[in-house]
Formats: sequence, structure tokens, C-alpha cells
Amino acid sequence: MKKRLSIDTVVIPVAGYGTRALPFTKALPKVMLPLVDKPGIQYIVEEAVKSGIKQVIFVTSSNQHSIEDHFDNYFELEEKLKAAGKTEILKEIRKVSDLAEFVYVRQKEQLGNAHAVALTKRLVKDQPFCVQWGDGVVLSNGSTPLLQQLKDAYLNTDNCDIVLASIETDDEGTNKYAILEVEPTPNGLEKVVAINEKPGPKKTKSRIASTNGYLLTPKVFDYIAKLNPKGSAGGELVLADAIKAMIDDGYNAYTVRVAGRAIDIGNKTEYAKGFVELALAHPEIGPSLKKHIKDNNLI
Amino acid sequence: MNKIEKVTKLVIPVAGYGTRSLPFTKALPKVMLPLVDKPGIQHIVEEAVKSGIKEVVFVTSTNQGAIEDHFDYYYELEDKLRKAGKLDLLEQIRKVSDLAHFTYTRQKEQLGNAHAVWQTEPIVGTAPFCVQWGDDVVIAKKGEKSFLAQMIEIYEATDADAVVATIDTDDEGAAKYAIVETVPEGDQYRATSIIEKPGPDKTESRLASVSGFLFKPVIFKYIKALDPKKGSGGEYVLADALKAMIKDGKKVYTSHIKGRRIDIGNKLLYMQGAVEVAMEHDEIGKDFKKYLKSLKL
Repeated sequence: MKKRLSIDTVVIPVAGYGTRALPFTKALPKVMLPLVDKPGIQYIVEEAVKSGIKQVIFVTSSNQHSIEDHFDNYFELEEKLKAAGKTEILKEIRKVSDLAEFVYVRQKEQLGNAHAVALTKRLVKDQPFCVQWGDGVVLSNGSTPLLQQLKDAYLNTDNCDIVLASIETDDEGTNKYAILEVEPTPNGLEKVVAINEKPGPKKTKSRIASTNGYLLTPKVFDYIAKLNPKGSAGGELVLADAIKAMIDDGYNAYTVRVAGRAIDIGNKTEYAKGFVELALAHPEIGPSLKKHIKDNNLI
Repeated sequence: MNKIEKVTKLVIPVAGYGTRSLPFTKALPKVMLPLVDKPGIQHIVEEAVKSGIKEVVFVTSTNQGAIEDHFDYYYELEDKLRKAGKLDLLEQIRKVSDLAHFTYTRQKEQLGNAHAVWQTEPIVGTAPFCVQWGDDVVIAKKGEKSFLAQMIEIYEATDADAVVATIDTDDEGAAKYAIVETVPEGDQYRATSIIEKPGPDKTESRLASVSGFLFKPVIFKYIKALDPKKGSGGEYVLADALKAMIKDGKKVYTSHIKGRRIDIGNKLLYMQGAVEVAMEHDEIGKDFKKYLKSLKL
């Protein structure tokens, strides 16, 4: 059975202090860290739009205004570019504001990632929706965009309540991620039968890790409301805990492997790697950068 | 003879739309472009402080609030870091605000680089001062004097009215930069002419004025005398003011930049700089280098 639902909303939590990315984040949101010339968050929104997303809900906090400005029109700059005849770049920056409908809700206290998601309840209403953390850029590079992958899985599966993005990991990853126990299904998807938070390499044979990217139904709000922060690591409301409770209660969860290149821009090493990768792939400057690195024997 | 006054002030013009760095600069100041984890402007201020600078005067425009916040205390974050026991990080971000005394003045219209410097006259007063463009990071090589210290040294040796920082350029550069002609004078090079973007045929010199200057306050007199209608590009241009100073017999010397210059407003140079800074980064340098090797370029 095909569902008639259209899934056109993504929730992107961006609140927080970005302490891993200091000092850049002292005055600026972590998600504005540029990959080459474009803030990381713009890549996320562009990929979401490629997935058919029409509405982006940012969960923000203080000091995040530049995100709103970035996705808004900017009269003064536009006039300046028009007068200078720079129509190409004018079109490009105007397009950024027109990518989607942007909505902002404030997370007044940092009480966990599930708390951030719960704040969007009134905006999401009764439709399924996607969630992607703002510091996790996934570039499809010709493969299916992340949120489209999640949507495809949802729309092609009967009685699907949750879709989780996942990656293959190793022994070390079992100490770092929530690990998914899965079983195959006739249509090729993997059904998630259990989630274990950082189980370590001995307690599970699975090396499939839940990662940034979720498709959820509004039912999740009920489960977030039932979370007890005292019961979780760090005393916060954690989305993975709510999802685990749903699976334990018999809700149907599936998982898809992330097809694109994921870049955690909040991690300095991963950010620098992603930065140089994109710089090298940049049509205008990639070749010159490569030459510079070679000519100067930098490596 | 008057005693040579110590240079402790630095003017950093940061106003403007940063159109070369769009889309990043749509909502953020160009000078906040990071070299890995640190905004370019912080590199500039850190190097300046090493040169003996105590007071930094930013010439800003709309949409540059992030610069003020970056060099200010941030109570909420500090409280959070303290409670999390992240004291190293706390000290590190606190230090950014304590680097120097920071002052801000607005450039209400973009009328040229000399116009930006002009705005600081009430703050600079009667003291000699340095100027460095906010998108022009210069990082001293190990064991070398930092960029501004190099200029200050020449000023102290010559009692110059102005010192112009320079690099060697080529024919193409002669059409892009102000070009300086010099004659040797003792250990120094004294400027005999400076022309804004002359092109390759009008001068044999390939010495380009970039990154910054050191000025005695007499510069303000020459800036105010400029006629922007006759000025290069219809703007108030420092090269034109310097030209008039040289003509009046004022002492203008050049200082050849020894450090690594990163023009973060130029996409290619920004990326080259970011890659180099990443390789030398205390925390991530080793991993990053290994990764770069693995790319088999």
C-alpha cells in the first residue's frame, strides 16, 4: 500500500554553545562554520530541499541570529550587488533565502536533544517529519540525499513508524554510538528490533550504528514527554531513549545506510578534513589548491 | 630632537560587504572566516599583541556585531564551561577578550580605504599608529619578528612619517595593487613614489603595497586634503595620500613582509591558508596531515 502522505518538514536543532568548536563559536553558531565558502547549515538545507523538504524548523538559542539572517533577504547587499552588475552572485544569495520556508523556535535551556525536538510539536502538527542535527552535514554527491533515503524507506513500507539513518562501524564504534540490532525484510530494508546505547564490542555482534538523521511520526512527542532525565546519561532528555521506548512498545522502526559523505563539522579534525575535501573538489580553485599543496611539498 | 613615540595602536578596517566571500559573508563579517577553529581576525590581533600593540581600533559597518562579541566576555558560556570543569577552554576564551583594549567606530559609507582610516582620527589622536586590513592575516614564521614589529622597527630607526608594508609582485599585480618605487637609504628603502594600480607599463617597480601601514597622525591632514572625484576609482585612497606626502618630502619607508600572508577574502588564498594552518594545528595537525597524504593528490 502506498501512503498519500507528503513529508515536507525537517527539524534542525542548532541550539547550544558549540564548545567543541571554540574559539570560532564564541560569537557565532557552530553550524555557520564554512566548508569552503558556504556555511555548513546551508549544505544541510540544500540537501533537504533536494529531498523534497519545504519547511525547515530551526531550534535555536541565544547568539544564533546569523542563521536567521543567512536565510533571509538582505536588501542593502542585494542593492549593492545590483549596482555593481554582479547578477550571478546576486541570484545565488537570493536563492539561499528562497530555498524553503524557515521557522524558528527557541530552546530556552539546553535540556537534551529530545527536548529540542519536543519544542517543535505545535509546528509539526500531525504529519511525519525528519530530524537532522545541525552539525552533521551529509553531502549526497550524486547518490540519494539523506532525507530522501529516509522518506523512501517510510513511504515504501507498511506500518512504518520510525526510520533511522545508520552507518557501519567497528569495535571502537560500539563504545561511541547507539548500536542497532536488525533483521532483514522482504523489501530489502532492515527492521530495527533493538537499540543499545554504547554497548561495547562484546555485548552485541551488530556493528550498525545509528547516526544523524531520523524520520519520526508525531507519536514520538508522547514518548519524549514520558522520558525521565534522571534516568539517562548526563541527566538530559535523549531522543535515542524515546525511540528505544517506542521500539520496545512494538512500534516499527527501519534503518537505511547513509549513502552520502557525512561531515561532523563540530569535530575539529573531521571539519578540517571535510573542508579540504570540498576545497579540492571546488571547480574554480580545486586544481590550484592541489598544485599549491604539491608545489610546496606540504605533504 | 623629539623623542620617538612608542607605537601601541592598531587600526583594523573591517567594514564592507565581503562580496568576494559570499555566501559565507551574507550574514557574517568576512574577517570571522575561520582558519580551522580561529577567526582570521583573532590571528591578526594575536600577532599584533606580540608586536607590542595595546589598543585595537576596529572600523566597522552594519552586520559586524560578531566581532565585538568575539572580543568581549561571554558570561553565559563562561559559566557553562566553569560548571562543566572545562577550565582550559574557559581560560582560552577569556584570553581572547583580554588580548588588548578594543574600540569600535563605524564607517557609515564605503568611500575608500583612506576614508576608513579617517574615521579613527578622534581615537588615534596624536600618536603614531599601525593599520592592517582585517582580511589580511600575516603569521610570523618561527623565530621571525611579527609583521607589525617589523614596521615598528623601521619607524623607530628612521622616525618615518609612514611605513608601507610590501611584497614582490608581477605584471598582473601591477594592475591590482598600489606600486611603490624606492631607493636604498642606509639599511632602509625609502619610497620615492607610490601609484595606485599603475599597470605593468607605467613603472618598472614590482613592489606592491599590501596588508598594512604605519602612520604618524600627519596622515590625517593628507587624507582630508584628498579630492575623491580626482582620486583613484573615485574614492579616498591611501596611496593617493601617501603620494602627496612623498611629494612634500615626508619620510616614507617600505617594510618587506617576511611572514606568511593569508588574504582570507580571496577564496583560493583562504583555502591554502586554512590547509596550512590545519597542518600546523597543535590538536589536529598530525591527523590532518595523515589524511591529506591518504588523498594521494
